[in-house]
Amino acid sequence: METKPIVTCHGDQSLFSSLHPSLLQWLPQEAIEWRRSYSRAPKTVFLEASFVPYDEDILPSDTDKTLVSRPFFHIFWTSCDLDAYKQTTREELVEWTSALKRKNIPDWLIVVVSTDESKLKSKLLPRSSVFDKIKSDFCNKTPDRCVVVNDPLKQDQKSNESWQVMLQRLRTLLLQAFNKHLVKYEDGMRNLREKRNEPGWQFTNFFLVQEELAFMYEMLGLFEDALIQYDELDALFTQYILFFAAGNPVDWMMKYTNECTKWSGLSLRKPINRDIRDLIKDNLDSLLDFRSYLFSRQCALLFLLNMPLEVPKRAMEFLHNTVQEVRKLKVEMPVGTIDCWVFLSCLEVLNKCEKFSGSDPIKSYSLYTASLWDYARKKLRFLGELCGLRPEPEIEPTSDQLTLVLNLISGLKSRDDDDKEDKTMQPPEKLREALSSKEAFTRTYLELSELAMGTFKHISRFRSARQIGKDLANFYILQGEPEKAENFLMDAMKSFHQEGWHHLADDMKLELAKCQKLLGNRLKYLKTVCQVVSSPTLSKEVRQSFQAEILEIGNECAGSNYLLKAAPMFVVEDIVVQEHSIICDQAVSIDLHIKCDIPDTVQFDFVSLSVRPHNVTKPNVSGKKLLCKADSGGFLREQVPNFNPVKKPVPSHIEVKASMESSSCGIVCVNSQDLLRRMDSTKNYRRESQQIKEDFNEALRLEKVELTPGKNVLSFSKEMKNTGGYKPGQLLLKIGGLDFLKTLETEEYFSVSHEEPVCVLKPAEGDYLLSGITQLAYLSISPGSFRLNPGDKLSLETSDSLTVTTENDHNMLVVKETEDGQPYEFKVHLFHERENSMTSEAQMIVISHSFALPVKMNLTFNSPFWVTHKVLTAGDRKYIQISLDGSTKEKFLLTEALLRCENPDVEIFPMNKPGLELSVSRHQTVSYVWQLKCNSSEVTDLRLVYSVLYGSRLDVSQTTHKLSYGFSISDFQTLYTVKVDVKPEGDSKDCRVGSGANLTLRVIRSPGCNLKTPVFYKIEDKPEVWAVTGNSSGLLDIAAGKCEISLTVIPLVPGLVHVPKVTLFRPSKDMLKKSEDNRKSGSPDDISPDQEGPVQQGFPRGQVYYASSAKQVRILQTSSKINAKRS
Amino acid sequence: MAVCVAVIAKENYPLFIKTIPTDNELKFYYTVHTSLDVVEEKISSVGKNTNELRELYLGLLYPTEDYKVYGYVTNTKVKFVIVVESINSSLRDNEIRSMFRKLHNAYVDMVCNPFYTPGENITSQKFENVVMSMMHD
Repeated sequence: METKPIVTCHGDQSLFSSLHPSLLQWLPQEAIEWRRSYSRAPKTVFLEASFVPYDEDILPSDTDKTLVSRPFFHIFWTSCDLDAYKQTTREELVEWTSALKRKNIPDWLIVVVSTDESKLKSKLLPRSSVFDKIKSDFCNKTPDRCVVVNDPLKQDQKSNESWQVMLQRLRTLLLQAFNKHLVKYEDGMRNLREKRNEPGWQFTNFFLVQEELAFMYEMLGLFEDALIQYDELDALFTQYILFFAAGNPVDWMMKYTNECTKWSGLSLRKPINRDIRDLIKDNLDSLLDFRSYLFSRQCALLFLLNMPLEVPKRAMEFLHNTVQEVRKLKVEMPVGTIDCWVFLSCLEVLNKCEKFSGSDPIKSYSLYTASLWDYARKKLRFLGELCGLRPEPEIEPTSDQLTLVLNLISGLKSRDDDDKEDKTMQPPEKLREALSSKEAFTRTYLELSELAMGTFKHISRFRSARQIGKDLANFYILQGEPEKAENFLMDAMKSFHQEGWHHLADDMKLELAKCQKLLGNRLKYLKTVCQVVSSPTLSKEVRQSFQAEILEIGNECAGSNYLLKAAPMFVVEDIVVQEHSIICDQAVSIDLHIKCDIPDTVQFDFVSLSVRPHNVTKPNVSGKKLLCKADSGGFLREQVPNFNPVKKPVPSHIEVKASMESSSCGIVCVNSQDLLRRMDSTKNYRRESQQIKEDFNEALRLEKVELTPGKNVLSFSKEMKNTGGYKPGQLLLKIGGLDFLKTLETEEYFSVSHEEPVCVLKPAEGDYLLSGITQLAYLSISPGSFRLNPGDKLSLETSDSLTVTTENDHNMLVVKETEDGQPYEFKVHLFHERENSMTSEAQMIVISHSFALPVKMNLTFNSPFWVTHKVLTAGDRKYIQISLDGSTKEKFLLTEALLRCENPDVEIFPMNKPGLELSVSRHQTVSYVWQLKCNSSEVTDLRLVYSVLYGSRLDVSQTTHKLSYGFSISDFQTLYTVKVDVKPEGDSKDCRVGSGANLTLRVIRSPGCNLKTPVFYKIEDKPEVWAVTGNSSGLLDIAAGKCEISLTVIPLVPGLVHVPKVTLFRPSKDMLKKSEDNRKSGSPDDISPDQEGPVQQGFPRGQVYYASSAKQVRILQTSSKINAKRS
Repeated sequence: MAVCVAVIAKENYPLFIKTIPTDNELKFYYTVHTSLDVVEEKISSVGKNTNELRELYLGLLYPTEDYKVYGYVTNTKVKFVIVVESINSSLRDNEIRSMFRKLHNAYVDMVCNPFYTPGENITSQKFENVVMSMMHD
């Protein structure tokens, strides 16, 4: 503020003018504490003053109520010497003081500026200096009113000190003066306020009084106190308006209700808007004038207080308040004018703030400017609409609207345009331009929108920013540029949706639909419309109209395929596969539970359900139901920039799944797709979650389907031709050119298989089927892909050797109920003829109408025992041994063993205990022995039959079965007996190694044998045991019935040694002939049977009895002496 | 009195919104939704000095020409928003505070109902009656 408290100066003017500059400079240098009345906090003040020459006329009288323009203090300056004082100065002083006294002014000071000489003098003669004189003449009672200054222009310490003392004195006295006047003034002001309810009281007067106080404070640098004055006035005024609105009108207020003709808005360019202040003074101000002035003053003080942030903060409230007050007072204002005022004021505050923004962090400052920008934007839009500047290209402003523009602009004119140096466009000019044409309006509006939006974004108020985006979109749509609008709407819609504000999201969807329709993007439009149709918040009429539109589009473009998501209009809630495993050519039936969020019934051309191959890993576990997830939201779930909705950290409900078979359990994450989605770079990939239509050739299909709002169940059915595992893939609903597609994510599956029935026959006990007994067995039939129904009959056919009967003794099986998946089991009795072989094969055939082909079974039966026979010989006596080797774990009891022979010449004597019962089982052998006595040597071939009765616990018939074993034996009678003996040579008692021994071979022909032909013998060559000297083989003439030859053999090993083995052979004819020749020529019998190939022929077992085959001879070790000799 | 009363869940979705002129319901939905910006701003600015017990009443969130929007946040981050008409200047801060207290009490009573799952939309008639009383007084 340029004004300062006025101080008059009198006396030596030339002296004063020399001191004036340093006085101005030094006075505010030091602060002084101001203790204030009414227990207000003391303030520290820097005093300033403006010094004017004294004139008696300007002295204020006691009744004068002015504050700012009042000369507060009076100083008399003098530097005269004593003589001059006496001559003139004293007179002047008398005149001055008396003038002051007349006006009752006690605030004065006499400054005596002393030079060096005078000081000297004063030192010499105390009480004789000018200072002393003046003191005694004028300041007897008030000695502080006179002060001496020593040579102030000199730069020494002394003069400086005295100067400072003078300044201090001046400050104190000045403050005293101010205080006195202020107290007085405040009292007066308070009195005036007390009278405010008296008739005739004028607010304007009071305002001016209090404002003067504010000026005073401002003058003293007490901006805070000054602001308080204005705030008090503001409050008082507001109070009056509230009273007024409450129906208590006061006279002085009526002027504010008058028509308002100016709406030029707030002006913050100058600290005091004198024009308006004059209007206020003249009582000609309007409400807007007054409010603008008051606010501009408050702002000016706020800037002085260095609180520019407070300005935009207060501005919003001020604007809103003022608008409200205009309404409350019912001020007559042409339409749109208040909006002009608000718009201009907003811009003015913003302009002003911009200049101050350098000093403050932009963010905290944007906090308030954002809403101002927004407010200005809204107002401009309103004005634009009012003036026919709407963005629609085809609408032109009417003449009425043009007039309105002129009227609005005329209201701005009163503004003084003296501030030409200001480069930025002043708000009124801006408004004038904006209203001048459509293009300018659009430009300004977009600029403001952008600024508002940007500022909101800057302070992270994204919802507010989005709100502006929504308005902008609206604007663009009207302007015919829907492509610019789409993104704004999409953003808003997605964020509303994700934050759970479905009402708002649906509102946006409607807008979006409108926008996309204009864009002509049919697919996008359809997608949006689908969302609209299934909205739970929109009215039924709206939804119906959109549904009708969808159907219309569907019919229109019947040729094309618009691929749309089925959700959310059609939500598949459940899929039920009726039969999880079916057989080829059988029909699979699948029930689909669909929830339709549509207002009206829809008729589909067809609905089809594709199936895709699926690996059935566990065919026995029935498919789990319901994994049709809730709608993922598709593009609604896409990330929106600058938007981080608060997410639910833990779902309120966790699905726990336990699988009893594998004894495990786990937690199912229901929204893994959302949680595990990549957050950042997925944006590009998920732009449009593309659905790809699967192959629908193999699909299950329903023609002409009608879906009603709410729940529907569709039953699909189709014969499956190919085997394999399948699961439902996609659902396709088709109306005209529209394909509603839903990819089903289900665990439901079904398998188509072709499996032959399998029959297995297993004995009830034991490991394998046995022949020879009637055995209980279980026939289990797994029908495979076929199906056996209870009551079905199965017939059994068998090969000849096998008989199979049921318990009821026939060959028909009746199917009974069984548990699912289990094979059918039947008890059967089996009997298979025993054959004398370890195993025997048989075949069984199961025939059923349910099976395509009879089921053949190859069965293997094991014989319970294995019979062998053996002829045993002891000299001429013959024995038959029958052995039965058991093959079963279970014991078989054998009784009544018999051996029969048809030949009368043969007698059989059993060697077994009569009536003996033997049991046989695995790893056991039972033997029976009979002696054969042949009464004739003619018996060569003999047929024998062995029979025994056997029974077993395994046999269900509990009877004994007869086993017959027929066999024949031949050449079994003994013809020769061979005896071999080894004796030591000479007299020695024992055979010794290395020394020769005598071997005697004796062959005796049986008495019944009448063969005269010689036999051929051969001594087994065992060179390591025996060394044979002489013929080791040769013919023996047996004609005499007996023959004996001796040979020398040498034992080679000590110990008990078997005698050399001798074998008899039937000699060949050549051999006989040769021996005959030899005998004639006298050459020795040295022919070897080996030399001439297969000359000799062995006797059948039983015809030769080797009596000495087990005979042993003791060989002693020779003495070492002999050994040494030999070596 | 109040023209719109809203209860907003911790996750910022509406649990309950009641407006008096029901024809322009959507406008209030937008107003309330936008006010969440300021609510979040106010909550986060206090969050820095955690020792201090946050005052539940957030005061005037933002004024518009016609309405004043007030906010209140419970300790469980459930937000209450009350919109009053600007013209109704007789409403002082204290009265707004007491309205919020009343609303909070009603909300607590409603949540105490064992059949109410937190996070669901509020359908309690009793709660609605309290809200209606605040709007008609």
